[in-house]
Amino acid sequence: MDILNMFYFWLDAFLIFWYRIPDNPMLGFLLGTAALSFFVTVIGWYTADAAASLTKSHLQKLKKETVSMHNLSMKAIAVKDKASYTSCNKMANDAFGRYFFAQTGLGAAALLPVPFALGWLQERFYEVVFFIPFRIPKIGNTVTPILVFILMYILIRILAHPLRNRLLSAQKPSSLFDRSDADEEKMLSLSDLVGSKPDPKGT
Amino acid sequence: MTQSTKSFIVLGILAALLLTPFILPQTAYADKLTDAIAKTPVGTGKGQIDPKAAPGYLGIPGGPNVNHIVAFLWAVWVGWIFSTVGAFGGIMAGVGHISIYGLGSYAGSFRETSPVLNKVVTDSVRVSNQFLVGMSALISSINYYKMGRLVVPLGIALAIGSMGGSYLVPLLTAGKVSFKAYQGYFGLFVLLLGCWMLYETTPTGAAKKKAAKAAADAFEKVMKEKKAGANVDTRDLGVKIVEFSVSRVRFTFYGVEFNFNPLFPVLGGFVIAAVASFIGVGGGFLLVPFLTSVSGLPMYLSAGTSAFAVLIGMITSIFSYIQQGTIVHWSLIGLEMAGIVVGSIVGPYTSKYLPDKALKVLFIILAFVVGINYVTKSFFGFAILGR
Repeated sequence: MDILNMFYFWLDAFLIFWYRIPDNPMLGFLLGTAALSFFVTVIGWYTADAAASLTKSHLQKLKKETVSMHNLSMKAIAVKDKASYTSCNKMANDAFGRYFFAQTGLGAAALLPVPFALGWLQERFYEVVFFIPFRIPKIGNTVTPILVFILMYILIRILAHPLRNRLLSAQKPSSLFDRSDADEEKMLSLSDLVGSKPDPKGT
Repeated sequence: MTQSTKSFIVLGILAALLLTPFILPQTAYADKLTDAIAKTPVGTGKGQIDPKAAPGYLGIPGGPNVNHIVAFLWAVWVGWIFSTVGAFGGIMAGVGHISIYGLGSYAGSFRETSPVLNKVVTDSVRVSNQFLVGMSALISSINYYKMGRLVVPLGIALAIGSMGGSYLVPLLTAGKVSFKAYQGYFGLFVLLLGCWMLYETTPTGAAKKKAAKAAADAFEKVMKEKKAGANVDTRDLGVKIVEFSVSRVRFTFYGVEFNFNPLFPVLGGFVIAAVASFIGVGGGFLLVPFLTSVSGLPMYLSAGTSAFAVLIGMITSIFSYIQQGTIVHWSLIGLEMAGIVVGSIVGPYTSKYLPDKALKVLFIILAFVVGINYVTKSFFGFAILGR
């Protein structure tokens, strides 16, 4: 038996344990899927954190470029210079495109364990379907266990969020977006232009 | 995400899950794949299935066993593109599924003998592509919402169109598109993208970009000299709707007038999501420029809004495919996602050694080779590179 198969058997025994705790099969499915979602969420926190900390400087550079161009466009609108606004906005969009796609690849890090969980679910509950009380045209009145997992995963991610900072307390959790340095240029929004004037030193 | 939105989502999901004890799990006695395998001639020849053969892709006896190392390395390349170039990542993920892993020729072998199996494998590739791109874009999109940059009416208009396109395409085409046709349209899309990239490098195409950069630089200089923002006219602050009708929205943004047709975002959302769903790509790279040019909104609003529309479209499309029984090779997707993460981390460290222009030329060549190869193979019956 190769190492991958051994790992799979161990994982299967561990994961199915949670599904078998209650006697009621439906309750068992919900409990097991909740446990699976929790494990997937926690592993995802660590993989995302590791990926984000490894690419911090590159992302900061792209973000700086995006914010700088965007702020310039906001300043142009503030002085009613439509032509400059359009140009700066175009440049900001180009910069944002690069920033967004740089994160797209890294976004996968947070969800890395999800397809493996889905693969296990599909293998284990391949022939199971759940009936729903209404009918969707062409789709019918059944949903797959995958839908239950995805709903549960979203729920667990939201509910378990406060735990994230505690688990990753050794270092400040690296979020791909939340991170900001003290001397970093702040992205101007509509409200920044209301009442307060754009910072001329912003760019 | 605001506290009330969060509570709404939590309560909604809890309600849905609490209802599940009232329903009972059932066993489905047949599924698309089993049916398709049953309809395929038994044997060891081309286009036949030998039930005694070891299970391969999707558990099909005798199906190709995708080499894990190759799949991982190809995904590293996809991740590298995401982090250095952007838009081409989804396309390259598709090329991997079709050509590198050999799924294209495998599906094609059933063209005559088992059209149903041919289409089941085609759908699996389409949804795998979209899943790979969608899952990766999900987190970055959600984080963008947290920044509160969403124009709600515009987002809803886009989302309506986007959901329509993403729901209708799988509904109308799942199980009906042969691999040959899919590969042809995929190639056509890549070819068009290649033409666009080539146009952007021509003096005419580059002129607009150059002009925008020059105008932005000039304005930046003026702002530095004049101490920007000193003369903001406080009478015209924020967005003010001047005119609102079915065909025209006119608004002033800090006193500067803009207008757009509200039907455009619905239509644009629909078309872009339909194309994205059919080909199996994200569509985000099409939506952001579309939205900016249609509405003239600042980047920080249009980007968040389009991210929202992409997300809604993607989720609708993936669910639509899965609910219709499309089988996905999840472990392969997981492996590919791991590769994408590695590629995205490596990208920034290596891209500084490659000039932007060289990268652009590389991708134009790739787009033309892949595009022409797929189009000629599907529509004219011959391929330059064989697969």
